Amino acid sequence: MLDFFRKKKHISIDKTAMSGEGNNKPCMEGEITQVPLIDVTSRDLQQTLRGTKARFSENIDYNISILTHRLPSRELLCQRFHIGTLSQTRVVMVYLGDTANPGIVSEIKDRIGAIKTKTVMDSIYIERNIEDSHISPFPQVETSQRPDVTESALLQGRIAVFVDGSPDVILAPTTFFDLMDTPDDAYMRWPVAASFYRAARYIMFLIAASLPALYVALTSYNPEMFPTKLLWLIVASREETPFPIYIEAFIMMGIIEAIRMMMIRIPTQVGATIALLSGITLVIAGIFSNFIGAGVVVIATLSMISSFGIPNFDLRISIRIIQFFTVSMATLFGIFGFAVSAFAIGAHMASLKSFGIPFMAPLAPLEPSGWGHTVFRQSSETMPLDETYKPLPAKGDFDEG
Amino acid sequence: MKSPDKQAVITNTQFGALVSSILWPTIIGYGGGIMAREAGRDMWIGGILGIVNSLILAFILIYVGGKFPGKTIVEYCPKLVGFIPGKALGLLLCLYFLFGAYQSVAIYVHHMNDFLLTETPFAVITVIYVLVVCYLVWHGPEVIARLSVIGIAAALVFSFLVFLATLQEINFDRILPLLDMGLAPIANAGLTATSFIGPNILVIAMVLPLVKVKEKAGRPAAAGLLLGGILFTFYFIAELMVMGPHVTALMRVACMDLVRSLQITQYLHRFESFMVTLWYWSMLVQAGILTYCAVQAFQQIFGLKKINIISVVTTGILLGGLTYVFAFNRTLFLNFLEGPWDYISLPVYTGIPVLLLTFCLIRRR
Repeated sequence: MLDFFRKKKHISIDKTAMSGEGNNKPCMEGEITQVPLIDVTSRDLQQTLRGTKARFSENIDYNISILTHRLPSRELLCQRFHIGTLSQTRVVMVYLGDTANPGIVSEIKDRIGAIKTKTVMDSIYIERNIEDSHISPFPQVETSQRPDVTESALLQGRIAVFVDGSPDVILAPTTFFDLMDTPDDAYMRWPVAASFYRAARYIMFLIAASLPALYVALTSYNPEMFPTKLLWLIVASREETPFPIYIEAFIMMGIIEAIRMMMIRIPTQVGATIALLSGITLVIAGIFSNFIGAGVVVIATLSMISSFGIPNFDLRISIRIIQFFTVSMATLFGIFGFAVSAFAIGAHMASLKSFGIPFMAPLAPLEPSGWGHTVFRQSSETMPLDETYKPLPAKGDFDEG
Repeated sequence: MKSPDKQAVITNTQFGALVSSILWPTIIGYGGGIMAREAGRDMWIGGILGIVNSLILAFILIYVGGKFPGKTIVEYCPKLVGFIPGKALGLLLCLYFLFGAYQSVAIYVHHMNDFLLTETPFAVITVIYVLVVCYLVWHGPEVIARLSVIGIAAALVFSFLVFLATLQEINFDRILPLLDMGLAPIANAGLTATSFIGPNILVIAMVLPLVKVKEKAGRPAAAGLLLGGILFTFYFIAELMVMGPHVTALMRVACMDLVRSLQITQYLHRFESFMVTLWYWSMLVQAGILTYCAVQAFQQIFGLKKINIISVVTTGILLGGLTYVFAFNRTLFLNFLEGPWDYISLPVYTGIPVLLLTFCLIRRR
């Protein structure tokens, strides 16, 4: 993939400084030896069956060249920055001049220009500094390693920020529906299937966020809500378990988080096998020794599987943590706690903005005309364009950011 | 510390959703039982009278508000009726909104404490609920309006579930004959219905300056009022057809008793928790916007522009205190809503719009 740069681009290393000769000479001075660029292969987080297999690399020039190759237009504009008093890391903001909202372009430019740091080790340092709310669990910018996703974002009037040394490109502004979007949706032939899977992901999002809490609330406070046969099953499975339902839920959720962390730390097939074995062993041993009820295992596993329906990593992590909050509220206040936590999260999501664009647009504020390519995928012979980021926002849409 | 809401703008669709989602939740809570006691099987006609009355008042408010672009009712009152009387009217509206919010909070807390969380202390539910309301007020009307869209979607699901569940139980004979008790009880029930939704109608006059296309605000307001009205009238008819007027009249919270007596197949035989969760969205939107209007009215009386944290916290404490002191005794609360409230509310929700319209016409604005 990087043959072109292997020939032309090299990393600089000062031999003198490395050998220890001389006293505290700057690395940039002295004899420079050229070392070939190392090709870094990373795990692909946005795999698709169709579409390009190309991914951005850690070299910013290569990344920009891929983009200019895909969009050879004079409207493709770049703004260059050097961020970091020590590292002088190259950061490039790319957008389509005739499509992007000038207000948002100027806002992102100002926010990047205002960053004061010694070094930029990854694009995450830029991301953290330009987001609207640092406290919110929800990411307000999207990152991608895919050139086609970046191209699509630019065509919709969004802005891409490249950082030298990072293969993750920041795409802003971002709505909830961008985070729930996958490239597969665009590449699927039949729009009904694409809309079906998209709707399934929203349901999975809701299950991941709320199912354990709902289960705890109903079993702890309102068991009469269950159909009688289901209630018998739940009661029978919990007959000899020593812990209350909420303790069981927290234990199961904790085990799942531990296994998930293990899989991240050992990212090989061995890791997956170990995770699978340990998971099965723990659950079977737990159920057979009456340590834990089967109902909780089913609910916790279902919510874990559902969380993997959320395509964006940051959003997925947020939901896993939010799950602990909703379960805590349900433990304390039953269905009322569940409703309060659901409403608080909903209110927070509705109040969030990404560079002036409401995070829940086009659902809240309601813009049904935008649903064809956000909430669902409309039938279209050409690439559907999202109007959420249209260049001329109505009064107040941007000013409030 | 200033509110994040700087230049709130509500689209016309959101405005319609807001109006409809705040119209129905409290009236189905306590209104059903009260109106059944007043008008028997004709209580639903009282509901329709309430909607017609609301539509007239809403159009008066939009007409008068249109003469003062960018100003809320509290801001233009002194310009129309004079400084001191205008400020006094503003204070009256502030108290009216606060009472509307208190009524909303109290009705929700009663539902929770009496039906679902009987062991949890009243104060705990009140405090948590008021905290969420304050959180909403802090984010301002724009966020509340966005949530109202979800609220109205939840309300439609709510009504659809009620329709499904009542399908097997309905008996048309229970609402016949029409005008069984004569016209006077129906008018009385209409007065009760308007008293319940009165504070919500006046919200229009507070939110109007934030609406994106003010010239076309009438249509979403009318659509919202009609939709909200249909929602609660449908619920009244469902209550009558399933439980009959006599049983409904015996109930304090007839809507909850209706939901508890229904089932959807053998799989959803007790679904009041789900119904409460759906109802909760509209309820919180209502409590949030009424509290916001109370805070905003108070600030505008004293010429303060932006909502600040002290106002929100103070209003939250007042709201929680009022609920705990006056709503803990359910009988007292119910007697107040059934008796004096109609006569306190009527001069405010009808008197103020008519007064302002009169001044508007006299001064040829």
